[in-house]
Amino acid sequence: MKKSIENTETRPSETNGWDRRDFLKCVGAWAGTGVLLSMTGGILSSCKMEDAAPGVLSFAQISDTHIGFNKEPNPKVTESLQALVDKINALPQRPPFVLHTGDLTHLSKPEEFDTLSEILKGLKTDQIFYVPGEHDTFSDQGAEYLNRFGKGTQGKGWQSFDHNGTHYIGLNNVVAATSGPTPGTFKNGGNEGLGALGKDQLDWLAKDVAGLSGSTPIVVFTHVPLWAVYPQWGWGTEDSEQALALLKKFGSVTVLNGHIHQVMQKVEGNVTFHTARSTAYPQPAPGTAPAPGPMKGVPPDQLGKMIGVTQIRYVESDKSLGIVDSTLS
Amino acid sequence: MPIMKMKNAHVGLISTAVLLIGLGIVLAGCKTAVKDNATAALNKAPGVSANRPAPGAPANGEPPAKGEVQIVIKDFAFTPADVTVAPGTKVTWVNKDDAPHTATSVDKKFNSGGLDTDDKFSFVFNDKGDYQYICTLHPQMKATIKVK
Repeated sequence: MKKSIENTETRPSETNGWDRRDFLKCVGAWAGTGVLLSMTGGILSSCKMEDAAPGVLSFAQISDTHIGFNKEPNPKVTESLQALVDKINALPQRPPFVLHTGDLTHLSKPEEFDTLSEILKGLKTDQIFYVPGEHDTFSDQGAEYLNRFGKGTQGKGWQSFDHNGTHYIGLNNVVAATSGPTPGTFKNGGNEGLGALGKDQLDWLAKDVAGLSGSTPIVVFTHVPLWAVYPQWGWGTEDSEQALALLKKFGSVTVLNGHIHQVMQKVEGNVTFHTARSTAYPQPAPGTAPAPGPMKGVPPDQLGKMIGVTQIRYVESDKSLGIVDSTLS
Repeated sequence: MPIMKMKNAHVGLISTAVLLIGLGIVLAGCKTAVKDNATAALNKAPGVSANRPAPGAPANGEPPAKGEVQIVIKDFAFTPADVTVAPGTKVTWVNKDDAPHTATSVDKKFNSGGLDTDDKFSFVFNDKGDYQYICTLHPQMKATIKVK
């Protein structure tokens, strides 16, 4: 069986077999509460989706599909998404559900939502759970998004559900009516471009987790990171501390998000934060460009190594969640 | 911090490239610098003309525009960020960024909707007042049009 591991920079796609370096790289792709993470210091790498990874596939995460984007470095985002959907469908284990962590579209246009829905109809899974990104809500505070994807959700699109003993919480941190430069301002998110959850959602969250035992594994999914990745670019959520305080009693919390179009993670006590790649295009590492936005100068043959999806796998032996980031090529 | 210095220098350069010379238009706070550099900067800025004729009377019987101002959206910033215009001035925003943006007044007086790269939006300011606006995609982008 061909197994190849690549990182995003230099390894050729035709690399065959495992060597020690490859093994460590793939191990490094694990996060969650596993022991492996602490051994590898959270160093992440990319694994091709065909690579065997331990554990049972719990679910998959896709993010930042940005349907409607048509420029450098990826003028064909629908084809990229379709290719990644095909790869998920080819996995030996079918994900029971898939999370989409926002920015479904680039400009909230009806035809963009239509295309996204059409492609994801082909995803072999029972259900897709969505949270919005600011690109889905900026023009109407999420009315069109909620009309299409908000069924069964609360408030402005937040929700929770249980699956195999884990409690999943979807948070909307791109539309918070309670904050802004002036009361009642028409805007997304929080001040200074940060995400914001808002009082209503935090009140709901407090009630949602009140009756749960501290041993219940928690998975939070949202669009903007719940930790301060790079506030200068709005890569953080202004009231995330209040949300995390509500989750303090839980022994295992995994926070999955998108927004920054690159893999990054952090472990803080019982909480593992993990940001996913976009299926559409990469963004620069924090502070390496004058502003965030689509990364420029990406060679076409490298793009596939900078976009991808995330698998979250459950490891029975140590009851941990492992996070495996897979690239398109 | 090096990044901020770099960004500010960049914005400063652009700010000289975005003023269309319209009647009665001044840039609040930096009149002289902008006028001195306007011609050179305009020569470097494709699509920006110092000699664009004033538009005709807008629809709906509004008074004739007194001039035009162009505001460039680049590197997640409106440039110039603060502009003072006479009543009747037509302000045009053009998005020169790779990311989409909006120009949306905080009191909902105007809203460009999503502006993709190279998209433009214009609004004629007839009423005196201060109009704060932001990009609803990136609310850290703040700017003001002063009409007086």
